[in-house]
Amino acid sequence: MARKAIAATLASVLLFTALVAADATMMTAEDNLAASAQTAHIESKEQVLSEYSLGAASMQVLARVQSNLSSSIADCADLGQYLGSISAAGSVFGDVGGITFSSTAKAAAASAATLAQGPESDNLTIVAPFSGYDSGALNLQVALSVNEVGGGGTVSLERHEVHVLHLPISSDSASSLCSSSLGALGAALSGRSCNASSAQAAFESVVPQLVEQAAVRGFFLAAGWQPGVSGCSSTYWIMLVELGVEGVTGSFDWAVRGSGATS
Amino acid sequence: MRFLDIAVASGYAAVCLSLVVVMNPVAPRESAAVAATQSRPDSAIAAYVEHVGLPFLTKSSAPAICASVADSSNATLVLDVLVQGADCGQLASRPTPLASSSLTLSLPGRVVVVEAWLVRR
Repeated sequence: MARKAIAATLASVLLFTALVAADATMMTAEDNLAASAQTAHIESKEQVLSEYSLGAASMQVLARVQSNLSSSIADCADLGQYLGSISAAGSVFGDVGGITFSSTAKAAAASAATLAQGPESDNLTIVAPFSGYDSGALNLQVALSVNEVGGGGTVSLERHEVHVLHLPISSDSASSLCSSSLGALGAALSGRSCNASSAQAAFESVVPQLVEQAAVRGFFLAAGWQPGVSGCSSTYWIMLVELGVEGVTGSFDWAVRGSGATS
Repeated sequence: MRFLDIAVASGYAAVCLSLVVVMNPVAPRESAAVAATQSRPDSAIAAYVEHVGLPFLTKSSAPAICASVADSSNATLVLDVLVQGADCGQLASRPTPLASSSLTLSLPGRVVVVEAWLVRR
């Protein structure tokens, strides 16, 4: 009888031990599954968030470049140098659903080498239509970085990328109009500046054509001239304004001025 | 001796049953299910922002943005946008959601918050 009782007890012990072991195994598996699902969820969220934060940082630098362009007047004489020296930086940071993020963007005029590669599209589509290279516009090479930490510090993400973005000002057209308009005014006034009325007539004969040429390329052109301080010399100037350029924060005007003189 | 045997066996059984109850595998399974449910509003926000783009959210008027979120919402997944703190009122009274998510975007000149709720209808 006692042996039977001991056997029954041992059998129960084995049975319950097996039950606990099975439950522990099940629990560990479910725990791992839940942890994997949670980590995958955080990783997925971090990946998506990185796109947004990089896009938002890109928008910040594009807005700064746009602000610079609209608030200052470029000069025909050093237009290429002026546009080539444009740079801006921006950053965004915050915390979304337990994920801390920090993104920075540094923009500079895209180098000729970058443009020579000719990628007209760029995978930063979230800032379309400003993503990618646009021939004749202001193309910018933007270095982007993002750092994210989520899941209580267990899941982190770091990205460093370079993208080409653009603002749709017509820089090539402006450069071309500067040359042609100043050249035409110089030719018209040259040799006629000794006689003010003759010079004025020459000026008035050429300006409508220049205005029309500028309008075809989307620019408003204003021009003027005045006799020089000595002899038969004269000075002249033009102002080109590209109206309603569609920028990242709305439309803006971009202005370029140039001047010349006849001797 | 017999009483001791019964006491030990009963005690052991009680401990084992307690462990089985404590190590409930349903809890982590529910946690995984919650994570899966949570991914729906997250995906909805991602799809919406990808669809309209950041320039649209930066320079469009609040009514235009509200119209776009209304188009992207459906019976079970409701999107709303707050532009500078003012929402579109997509939900007259906000029900208890099955899952929700939000994203704050610091865009030039404005802060836009995109929210999504997974609701039971």
